[in-house]
Amino acid sequence: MGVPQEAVQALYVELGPALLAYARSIVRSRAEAEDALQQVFVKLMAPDAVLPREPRPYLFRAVRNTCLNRRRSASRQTTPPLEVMFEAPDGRRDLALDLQKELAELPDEQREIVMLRVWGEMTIEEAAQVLEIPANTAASRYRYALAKLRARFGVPVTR
Amino acid sequence: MTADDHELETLLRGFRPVAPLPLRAPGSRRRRIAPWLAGLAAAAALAVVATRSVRQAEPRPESPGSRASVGALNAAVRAGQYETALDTLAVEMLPDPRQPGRALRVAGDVSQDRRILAGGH
Repeated sequence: MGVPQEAVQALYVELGPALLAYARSIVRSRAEAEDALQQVFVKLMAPDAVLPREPRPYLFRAVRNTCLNRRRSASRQTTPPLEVMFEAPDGRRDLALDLQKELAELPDEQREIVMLRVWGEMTIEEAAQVLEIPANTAASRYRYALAKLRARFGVPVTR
Repeated sequence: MTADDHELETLLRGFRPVAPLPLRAPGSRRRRIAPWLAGLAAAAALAVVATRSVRQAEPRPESPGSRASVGALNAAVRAGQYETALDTLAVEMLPDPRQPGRALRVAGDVSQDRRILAGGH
């Protein structure tokens, strides 16, 4: 049986960019992130593969696990290459790089929740399931991360 | 989540993550490499066939090893030429100490020099 190829392709088109950005936030290069993404989707195309009813959290978790495995097995640490992983609204490369820099400076656990919530378009509860942490913890980390990003991107606090 | 949080999220979502490379179907990589491998394999096979043809066309010189086989020596025994055969093989197969530069010749020269230096003959 397996998962219909068309369904896999549709998921790849829909979630691929967010999954790639998420993967890249865990591993150290775009090439590694691409490989991890391909690995997950190739498994999904296996004849015995099963797609859960909620594919989004499943795919983000699969990408996360694949990336963490790859990161653990990485033999040496090198300086990450400068790669643009986002397109800014007005096409400004410098803004996109600024965003990446700010994301990179967040602690891992905060960056992950931001990636899942903002670009993975998940609820805090779904993101917490992917990260296997309590929802309250996820919400707390997200608030801290937003506070840091707010300071950088200049969205005022209206209180 | 406050209104500010939503505003910041909207701002952040304005940054669109870039699309990944096209998805490679399982086996597509193999298919992409296959013609290249097939070409290489065909070229290698042609080279082997051509080399064998040339070797078969060339007259094979009789090697000393072929005359030193058990069968060849048996034939020499039956023909009463065993000693002659061994003498011929010895000349062909064993190192000739009389030739300049050969290992035995050099070893012999060195040995003689040492004897001279040591006050021998």
